[in-house]
Amino acid sequence: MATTDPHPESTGPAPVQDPEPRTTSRRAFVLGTGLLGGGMIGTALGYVAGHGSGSTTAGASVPASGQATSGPSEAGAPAAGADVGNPTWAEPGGEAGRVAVSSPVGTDTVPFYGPRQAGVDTPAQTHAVFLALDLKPDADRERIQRMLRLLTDDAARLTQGRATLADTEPELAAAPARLTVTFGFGPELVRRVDPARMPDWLRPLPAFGIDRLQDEYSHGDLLLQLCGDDPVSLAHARRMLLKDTRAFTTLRWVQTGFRSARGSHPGGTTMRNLFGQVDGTSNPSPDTAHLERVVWGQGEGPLPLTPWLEGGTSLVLRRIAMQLDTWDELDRPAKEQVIGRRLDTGAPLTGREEHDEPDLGAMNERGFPVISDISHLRRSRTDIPEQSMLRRAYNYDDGPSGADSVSDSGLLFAAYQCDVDQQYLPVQRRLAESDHLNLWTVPVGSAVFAIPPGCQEGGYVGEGLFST
Amino acid sequence: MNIQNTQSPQNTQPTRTALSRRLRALSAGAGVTALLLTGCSAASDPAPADGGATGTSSASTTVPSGQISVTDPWAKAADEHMTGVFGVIANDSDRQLHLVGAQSEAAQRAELHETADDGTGSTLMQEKEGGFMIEPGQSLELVPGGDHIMLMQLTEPIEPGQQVLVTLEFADGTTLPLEAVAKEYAGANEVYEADDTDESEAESGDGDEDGHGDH
Repeated sequence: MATTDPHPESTGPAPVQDPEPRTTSRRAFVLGTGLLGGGMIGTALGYVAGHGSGSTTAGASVPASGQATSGPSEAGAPAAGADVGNPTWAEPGGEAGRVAVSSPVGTDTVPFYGPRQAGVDTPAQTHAVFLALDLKPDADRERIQRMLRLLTDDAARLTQGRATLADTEPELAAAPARLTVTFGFGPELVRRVDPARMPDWLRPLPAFGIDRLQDEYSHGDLLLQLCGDDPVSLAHARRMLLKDTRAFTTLRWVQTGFRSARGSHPGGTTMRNLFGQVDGTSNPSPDTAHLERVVWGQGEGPLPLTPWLEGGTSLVLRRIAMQLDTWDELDRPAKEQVIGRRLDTGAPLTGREEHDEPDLGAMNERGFPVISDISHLRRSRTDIPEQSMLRRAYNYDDGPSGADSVSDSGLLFAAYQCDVDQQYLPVQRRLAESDHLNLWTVPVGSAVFAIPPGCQEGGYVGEGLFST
Repeated sequence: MNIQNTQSPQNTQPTRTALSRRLRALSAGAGVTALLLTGCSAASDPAPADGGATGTSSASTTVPSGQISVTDPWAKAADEHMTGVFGVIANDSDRQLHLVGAQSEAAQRAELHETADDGTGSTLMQEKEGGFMIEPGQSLELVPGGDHIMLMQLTEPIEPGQQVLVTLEFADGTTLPLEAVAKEYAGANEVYEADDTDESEAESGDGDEDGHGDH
């Protein structure tokens, strides 16, 4: 097999686009949580410095002074010496006592309220769980509304490090660690609430020849997407939310995924999948007009993109099994040919750095394209910039599936775009038709959800669907 | 206690105003729900569209002076019999607050209950004689397994997500309405004292017949 040029000698560590951790959450949100409530009651929640004093309002997330004496270590909580971050106390509320937590990783929050839901263009957290639920036959419009109010309240609290109402393990809410809860609607939910608002694209993707879809990973009426850096608070949130769905829905599937731990790599580093590939280089950059256009349908462009509800978008979630055992048979240059990018830097085979523009016309000394015609890079490219999506993938690794198996691994390919039909499908069609990578990847699950807008305090996610 | 309105809570359609106010309070800031009632009569609450569990109390009400707030009120969803109402009542006024009773259109009776040690290591729930005294600056925490409000002889099932209106009654004759959201909850199953006659069963409205606490 033809190989590419030798790696440049100077190739060092992967270039980092933005060495500053890029998070939407800041400690300021933590600081602010207690102040919004009007300071009504002495049981104010949030992160307080030390203990006793200042318990009527949320205090600083970091002990104001003398951290060593006013932090958790004072009262016999674990010493902070070997920990990452600064120790502090959290009071998650409910019946919980105070809990030793660490800032910023444990205490960081992503705002829940806003015109758009968090968890879409939020920098990806370490862990994710996607839950698909099916509505019970008697879950009519009014019950769906009740359920969404319950779930919204749960999510609003948990994401800010607060116990839910009736929280059975309120201490587990103490370290939200950037927890986000994102709701998505399948076609049946929209049909039961207001069929007139059904987006054209809200239906299962057409069948592709490469698909080996399993029902247990496909479709669903309601999606709960939970992401966070702490698997314990994530598990707690998952359980509390599911308890409030029980009266209205049945569980259809659960898919869990992960990325590198927060802090393992600099913020802004493109993720790696379990093939070792840098995955997501061509994603729209945060806070750009391109992302606004692609995900939220804002601005102008050649495609007539209109969000299904203002502030809403769509999610295509594909479960893609990765055949690591046969992938292992390829040597490194061959692996790089499949994608058209280097494994080390993620740079196109014609470039040196990850975000270098690929030269699709470049030929090697034998007259073949440096970036092969069937490479994933070439096949996934489009001349229409809007024919794009925001990928927010998570790895999965469910462990060996048999005595001789090494792994059952893959990717939870989560793609957000304003319009599935106009943006996602053209790319998917091209890749299904021809993509060298298809030899080692198998789509085994597929689901499409409409992501409703966010809400303000007092509202609930999905309320736009109920308005007349 | 005279219950004049026993409409089905199932038909509850709270007004947007009432509900959004409650949810706003629910989620306000650090989880502190406040019914700020200074100079504000409960009778001015918007009436619900069709009454039911969220109906306002028909009794004329005045409100204790100062600031009394209720944080995070919720009720255990139940199909029948009885259920508990929980939350935190804070007395930010400068006067002692004496909670002596409660009523709700969702139930034939409502009582104030406390936890008592039965001497065997178990706890029993029993009516709180004389009610609860809340000193200025203090709070009363109503929790499963502790002090709480019991709704007895439910008029209709209380379903998850529904709002249950409960009116707190104070010794000076004033009242305070609160809306408790119903949550599916497996706990709050404490046994009642035997002298509680025909209602000495588990506190779970839906759990005792079918052997588990869930729907």
